Amino acid sequence: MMLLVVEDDPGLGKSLTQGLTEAGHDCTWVRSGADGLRLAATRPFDVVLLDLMLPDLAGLEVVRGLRAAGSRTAVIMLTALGAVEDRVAGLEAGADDYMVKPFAFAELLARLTAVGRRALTRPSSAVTVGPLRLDLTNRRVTREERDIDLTPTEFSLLEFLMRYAGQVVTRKMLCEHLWDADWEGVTNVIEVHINRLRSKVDKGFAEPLIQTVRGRGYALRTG
Amino acid sequence: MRSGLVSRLAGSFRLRLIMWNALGVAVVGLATTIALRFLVSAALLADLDAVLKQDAQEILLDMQAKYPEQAQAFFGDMERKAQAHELFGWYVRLIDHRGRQIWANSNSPPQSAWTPNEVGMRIGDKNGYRVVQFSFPQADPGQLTTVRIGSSLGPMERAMSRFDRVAFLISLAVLSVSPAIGYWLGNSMIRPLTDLTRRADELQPHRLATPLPLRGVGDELDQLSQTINRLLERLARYVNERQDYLSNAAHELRTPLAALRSTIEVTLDRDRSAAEYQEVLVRLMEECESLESLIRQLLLLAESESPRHPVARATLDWCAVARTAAAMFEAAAEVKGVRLETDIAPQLLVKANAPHLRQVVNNLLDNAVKYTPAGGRVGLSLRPIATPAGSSDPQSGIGREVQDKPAQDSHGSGWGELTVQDTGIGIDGPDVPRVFERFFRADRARQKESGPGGSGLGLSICQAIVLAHGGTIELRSRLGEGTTVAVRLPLSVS
Repeated sequence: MMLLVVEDDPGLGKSLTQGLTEAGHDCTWVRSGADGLRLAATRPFDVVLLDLMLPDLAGLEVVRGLRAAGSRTAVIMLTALGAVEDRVAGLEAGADDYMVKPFAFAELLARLTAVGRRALTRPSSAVTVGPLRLDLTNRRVTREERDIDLTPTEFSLLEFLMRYAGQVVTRKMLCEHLWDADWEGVTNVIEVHINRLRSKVDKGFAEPLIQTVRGRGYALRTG
Repeated sequence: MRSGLVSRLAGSFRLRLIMWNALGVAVVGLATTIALRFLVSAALLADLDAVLKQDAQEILLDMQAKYPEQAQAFFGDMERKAQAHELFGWYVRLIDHRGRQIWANSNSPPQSAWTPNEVGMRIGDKNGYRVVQFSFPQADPGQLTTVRIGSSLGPMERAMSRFDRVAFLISLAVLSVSPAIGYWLGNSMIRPLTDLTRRADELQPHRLATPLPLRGVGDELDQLSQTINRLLERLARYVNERQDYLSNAAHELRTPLAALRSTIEVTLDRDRSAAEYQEVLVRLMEECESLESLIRQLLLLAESESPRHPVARATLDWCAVARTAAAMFEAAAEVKGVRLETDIAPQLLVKANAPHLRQVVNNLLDNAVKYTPAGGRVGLSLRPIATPAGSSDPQSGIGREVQDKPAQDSHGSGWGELTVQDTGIGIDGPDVPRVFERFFRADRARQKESGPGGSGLGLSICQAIVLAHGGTIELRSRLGEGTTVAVRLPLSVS
């Protein structure tokens, strides 16, 4: 994807650019709102990553400017302000998504995928990752034609992992997906479900699909 | 700016006091003078009347003895009497039944009085004279003889005008002195008030503990000072709590930061293999996460306590929130060997902020599962109750007063009570009242046995959220037997 990063903080800008480039994206980084607005208006970016608090032009102004100029480029806002009103203000100004700093890089990648996909394709009724197939219409999961019996929670968990196959999915993302809760208590409620899912999906097969990425989360990978 | 305003207000108050005082003194003085004048003049007149009546008595007796036989002798008596009383404008006149003058003394004023027509006495004012007139029948039937005695009102009027002059001078003196008295009175009334104003103006957020002085007389101003002092005490306690909170928060943030720093320094000390670097980075990531989590909790606490920016609320099903939470912890409890039992009503609507309410239920379940050893039981129940009885809350600080506003629309729809009961390690008696304090962790050694410790903010967050929603939270615990937390919230009408 062609990405534009508008971020005045050098540390965050640099690591974002590096990470996104390494993830296979074509990334341009500018450090002011005016530059961001000018570039976004003249070059066809897929997604703009926009810091809300810029020294010259407020992020909200940049989005409004973009939308006023008729641009429909997807915008993900990055900000340290996490209150509900701030989110609403961002989305109302025309942003497509909103991420509160500090965020997991894996989550940013996942959201980029989601925002990009939202613009391109419709969700299909079945997902296939390597030998694994998940059918959303009859809620059936098979691996190499063998049926796997899952609880609703496990099914939902697997669906999410498969949707972001190959990418790291954080515990926070899974928690939000499963229970609509940004839960980071002491009890690791996700790990238990992952272990159960793993015992059903990977047991008896040579290749483990569900992997734990230490310090970051989980990933479903093949090959 | 503000002190100018205060002194101006005090000045105007003083001015009002002076004005009212002057007006009061003037009104009372004037009323007294008028009343006195009336009384004195009435007394003088009564005196005059008595004298005139006595004269009339004497004349009558004299007349019975001498008139008409010795008329000349009688007239001579009268003439002498008139001369003796000349100073008072005294006169006497005899009138026949047709009103014609029979005789009058030499100084008598021109005739002008009532025409005598009946027997008896008459008293009244006539042309500046006080006149007493009595008529009596003669031997001939139908014939009346009248004796009229008069005395000039002049001397009395002169006395009254002297009185008026004195009264006027006294009134003038009182009127000119009364503002001064008012000023003095006003000042002595206002001085404690201005003192109080000045003291209150000098108060600083960091010096709230210095109370306003009491004068010890127990009057209204002392009561005001006491009220302000009590407010100051509450504010000081609140500010102290905040300061402790801030320094505790900084301290708590330092711990993961110290871990980050030392890990990085030790790693940079010498060359390491790629695997080692990766290991270190994962550890750093974990420390980052605990820092993030702590900051998120601090922000959540601030958000739920902010009286200026109340969080958005919507009517939602508390039972659905509880069921989701139960589903979330079910597997974790099972793995730990803890039985999670639920008893949740079909539906209970509350007006709440969804993420905050979830946080409360999740925090309580997290604690219960964490502190309950294998083979134990955690019960989650959510039921409607009649009244939020037993809302005695050990943590009723100022935060409660600011936040505790029961939802107005909830009256009549009752309350819901969520209890999380565990058979866990419990909390030692003396620690129970402190569990809602920020960063308070009951018995750290025990926590280490039962896995990773929390931030010490979980229950504080629960309390802040519950209070902000107009509810109550209560914790009962016995060491070694378990803990029960009850959260009561006002229900909302559907």
